[in-house]
Amino acid sequence: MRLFILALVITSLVVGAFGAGAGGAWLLMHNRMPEGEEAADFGVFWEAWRLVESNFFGSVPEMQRVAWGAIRGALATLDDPHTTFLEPQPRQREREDLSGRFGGIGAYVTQTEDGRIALEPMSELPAAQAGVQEGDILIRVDDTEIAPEMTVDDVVTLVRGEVGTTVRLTLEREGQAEPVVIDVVRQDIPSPSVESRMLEGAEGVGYARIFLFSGRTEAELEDALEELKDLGMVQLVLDLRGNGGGLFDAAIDVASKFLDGGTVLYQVEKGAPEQEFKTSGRPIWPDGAMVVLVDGGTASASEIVAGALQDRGRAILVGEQTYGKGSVQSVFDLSDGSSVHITHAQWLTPERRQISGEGLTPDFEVTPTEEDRQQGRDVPLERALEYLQTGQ
Amino acid sequence: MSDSTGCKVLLTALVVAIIMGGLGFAVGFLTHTVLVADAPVVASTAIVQVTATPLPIEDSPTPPPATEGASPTIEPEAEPTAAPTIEIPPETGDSFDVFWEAWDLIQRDYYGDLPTEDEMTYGAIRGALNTLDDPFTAFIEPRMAEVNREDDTGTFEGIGAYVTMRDGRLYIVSTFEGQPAEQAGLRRDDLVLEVDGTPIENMSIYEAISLIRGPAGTPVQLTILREGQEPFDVEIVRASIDIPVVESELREDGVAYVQLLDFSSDASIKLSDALEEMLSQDPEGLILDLRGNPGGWLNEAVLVSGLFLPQNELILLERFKDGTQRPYTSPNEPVAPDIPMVVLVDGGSASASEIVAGALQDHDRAVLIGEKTFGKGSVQWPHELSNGAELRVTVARWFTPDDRAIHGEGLEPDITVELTQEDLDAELDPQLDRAVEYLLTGE
Repeated sequence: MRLFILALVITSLVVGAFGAGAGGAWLLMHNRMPEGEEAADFGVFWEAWRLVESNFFGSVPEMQRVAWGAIRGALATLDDPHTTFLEPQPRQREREDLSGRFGGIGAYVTQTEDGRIALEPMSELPAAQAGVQEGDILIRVDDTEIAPEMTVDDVVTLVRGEVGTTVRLTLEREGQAEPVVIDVVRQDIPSPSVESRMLEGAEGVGYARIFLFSGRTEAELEDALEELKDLGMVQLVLDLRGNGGGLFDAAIDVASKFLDGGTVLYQVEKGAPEQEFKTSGRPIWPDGAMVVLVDGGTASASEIVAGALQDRGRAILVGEQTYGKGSVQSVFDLSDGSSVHITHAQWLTPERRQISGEGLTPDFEVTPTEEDRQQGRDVPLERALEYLQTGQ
Repeated sequence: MSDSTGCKVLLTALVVAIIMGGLGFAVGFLTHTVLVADAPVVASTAIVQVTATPLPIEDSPTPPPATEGASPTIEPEAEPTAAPTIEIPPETGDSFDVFWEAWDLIQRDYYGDLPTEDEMTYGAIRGALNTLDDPFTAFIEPRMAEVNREDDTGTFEGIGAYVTMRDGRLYIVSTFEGQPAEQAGLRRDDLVLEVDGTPIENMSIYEAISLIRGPAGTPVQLTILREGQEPFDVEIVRASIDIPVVESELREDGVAYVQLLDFSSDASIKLSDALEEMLSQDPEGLILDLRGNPGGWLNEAVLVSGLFLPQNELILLERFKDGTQRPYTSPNEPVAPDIPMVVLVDGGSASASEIVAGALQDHDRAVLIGEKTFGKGSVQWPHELSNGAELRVTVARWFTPDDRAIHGEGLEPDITVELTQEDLDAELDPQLDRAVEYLLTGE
């Protein structure tokens, strides 16, 4: 009897072990399935694309373009207008705009009425110094012919390049039968983002305008403020109208020029706790009445500055409701020079206001009319001055 | 049995058990791989249909099996292609890698709710197809493809309008007389922004249509943008749409007028009957009205052309990607080879209509009066994908007997006459009037 029981036990053990082993294998494999499934799900893309490649009547673009199209399509499903894809050429331009400098020849590139490309050299910069004259028509850049369908942007991309490199311009000049060939050595051309002056007819009121928040903005603003202080500024109008934004860090730095420490904004990333961003460095002008001019084109980084100054009681806002972009994008460059901007966080003002879709409300709302524009009047600026002079 | 022997036995049993466990694991692993992971994913057959694929109407029929054909001499060849097995991707080399770079970045960093991976994949497919610059090569996601496939009854239920897509936007091309869309006041060039509150911006034309269609008696709300007006909503109750095919009239001035509204499978027969009846009364001339006719069966286009041209005359050429070309000629004796003839066309005359108009114009059989035609001279083949989605691919283009491309170009009328909204409101038809004038005076 005991033999029988023993045999039974042994058999069950053996069979059980086998079963457990097999079952374990299946469970393990099933947990790894998601990877396989993922590949199968995207396999539909290749199913579709293979059919197109074999059958489509018409030209099929090269795979790089298809990949770009696919990225755009995937991003569209996020339903976020600020998460976008940029091809290499626009990305290069954006990089230059945000850095505030590029390697170039120092000339304006314009399109004439009959669609040709003309150059307007800026004084003291490489193009002018090499002999390029105003009105010269660009025929060729190095070996590339200027084609009729090229845009100004296309041409600028050809002309710009690394600092120190040479570009050969072939130009058509009025009064000369043969084309003129000029070699220009590219230099570091700054594109300023700040302009400033003392206002006429208003004692001690300085005016500074920021066009966009580039890598040079902080330094340019510091210089401007120091200069205005030297000229006797006691009150300031900071103009952010039409400023669509730019670098996040530049916004913090600009706000920091006017605040004595403290919070500039809070940032919230998905699944992460709120992160406080305080001022950086020392303020240049923390006291003295200040007005910030804003309008519907004041967006993003500009709203960071305006919102911080308003919430901290440092300045009042005059003008129109701002754009309402309270999200922050990270820019990632992909391996082929294209890039994606991905919304990775929301930011809040010091009072924790979420401005997305709403914008900031000015303390004094002033909307310029068409008549004002035609008469050349800057009504919001006038209102700002009235406030600075009368306190209301 | 002694204890030590018992221990030895148990020990041996344990060892054997472990070995069996290991064997079991191996067997499980192997069977799983064979049964599950390696199951070949079979794609469906490509349905090879030769149709003059019309402008998708909002209740476009799923083409019936290819063996249905009116005339035995021209039978669309139905060559089922073998089901390809799917190789999980591809020898694309490096250039597609950027897509995965972007994808991973989104998954990692995006602030906000991510759509499902399926949704993003479908988005990627749409984006890739966009690079082809052809709105008729498009992707229909499984859900909507299923809806389309279910309706093969032949009765159409919807609002009664033809639609098209331009630059990613959906426009009304024409409305059926007396049907819900017309009664609700929809007009040509109305832009459809939303269907029941869903923006149709990123959808393919076929997907948008599947939202508009629905059972008779059910309501659908369209958000319309009309030139010069603010967007407005219009609620339409769907109906069972009976697409009329032929309407004819022998006018008092002696001109025979026949309107062909659609190239359905009985179009040529109905047209032939109407012609024979009118011709017996010796009319002065003939007007064939193809305005607003979005197309239909290729077969019917050839037969209709053949009603007016000598037998064996070339009607059109069909060219494929690999350069092969297939001519279509008139199979039968004509019914009306001689009577002076005008064909009325406009921007709503598409596809099969353009085949007929082009053939008659190139053979100098008829004068075209009206406005430039739509410019759709391409054939799409539908493919069902492994996940139930549908892909339509433009596989061929048509050319007229004189080798003019229809696609993207359209046909220019011999005499251009515009029809404005004011004309419609006043119930005037200057295009028809000009046609009559031409037939009666010769110029």
